Amino acid sequence: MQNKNLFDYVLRLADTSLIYGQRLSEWCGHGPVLEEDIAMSNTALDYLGQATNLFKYASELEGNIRDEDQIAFVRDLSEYHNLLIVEIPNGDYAVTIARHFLFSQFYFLFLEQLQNSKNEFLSGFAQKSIKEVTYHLEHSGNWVKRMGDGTEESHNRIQKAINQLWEYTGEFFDMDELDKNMLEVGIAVDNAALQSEWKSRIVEVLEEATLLLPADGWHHSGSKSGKHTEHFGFILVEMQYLQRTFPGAKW
Amino acid sequence: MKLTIIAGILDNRFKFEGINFIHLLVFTPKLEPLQMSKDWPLWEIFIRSKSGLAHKHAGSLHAADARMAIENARDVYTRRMEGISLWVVRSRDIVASSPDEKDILFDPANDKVYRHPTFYDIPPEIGHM
Repeated sequence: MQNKNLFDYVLRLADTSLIYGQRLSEWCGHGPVLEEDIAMSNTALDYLGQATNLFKYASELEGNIRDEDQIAFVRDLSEYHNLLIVEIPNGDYAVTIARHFLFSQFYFLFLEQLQNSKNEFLSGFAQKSIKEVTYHLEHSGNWVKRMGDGTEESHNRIQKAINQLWEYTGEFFDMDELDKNMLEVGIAVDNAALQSEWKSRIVEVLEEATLLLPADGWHHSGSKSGKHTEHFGFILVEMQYLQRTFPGAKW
Repeated sequence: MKLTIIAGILDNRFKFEGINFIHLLVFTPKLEPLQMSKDWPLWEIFIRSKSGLAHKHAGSLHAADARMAIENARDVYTRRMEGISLWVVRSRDIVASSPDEKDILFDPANDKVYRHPTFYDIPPEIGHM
């Protein structure tokens, strides 16, 4: 393949969108209120849409030897490189909202930079996707404020959620060999450079929500080398069931 | 005090039937519920499409406040490119004419052609007016 590095870099983005879409779609029919059920399902579709675009591009880069469905659904656990935060269980709605907020704030800043990528596809992809992610950020931020500055129960749940998810946020800013190489050729984003801006925006919302910032400690990582949490296997079982039972199935 | 409370109850019941006789007797301040409630109020949603001129009623939904109502309306009613502008109004703020009054409100306009400006000859250069 011509550009293995580019393929791998695109795959990381595609996997994060795919697995996040898969996780969020678990809320469909189970949302706390009708309006949020629809909102979360919409968000899941936004991410599946992003994943489709990215996997199609990945398939092109590979010379179309696999189509986008084959790449997306027929790989082994260690071949997926999504950010770990998107694979953990949805929990209650506070956990989902907290994760949505923490991730969307990062992803917004990331896409903002990706718009400047020298790769035409990635730059166009970023310009298009940032609109929906801006909405996700707005929506989840408002909910964090409502839960934090809400009842005693909602406040406790969202604080617990933020505390629980904090150790997954460090991974956003990791830069491994591939990231550094792609950054050098002007294609990738400097994840590490986003960290202080991300933190200050998170703090701003948490303060308004009367929530406390968790202390920094150990952070999960490993997705870039294909290491996952214990939850990931279960997602794959559901997600891959159709393609593995009926290989090459089409609608 | 008792009269005020009774008037308050009657006030709500007869809200849509014009001037309330009780209003003339006793001043009843409009009671806005300020206590916290678990129930989200109902909002009516109006959408204007890209090519449209007016906001059309699209349906209703529940939301805790105006911003949430806008976001919920966006999620629930504009999924398929239905529009580019949203109005959200609390359902309780909408005052509707009563169907019983249909005759007295609208029939008189039926047979008054002299109210329609259709007897002028518009020169073709003017176009549509």
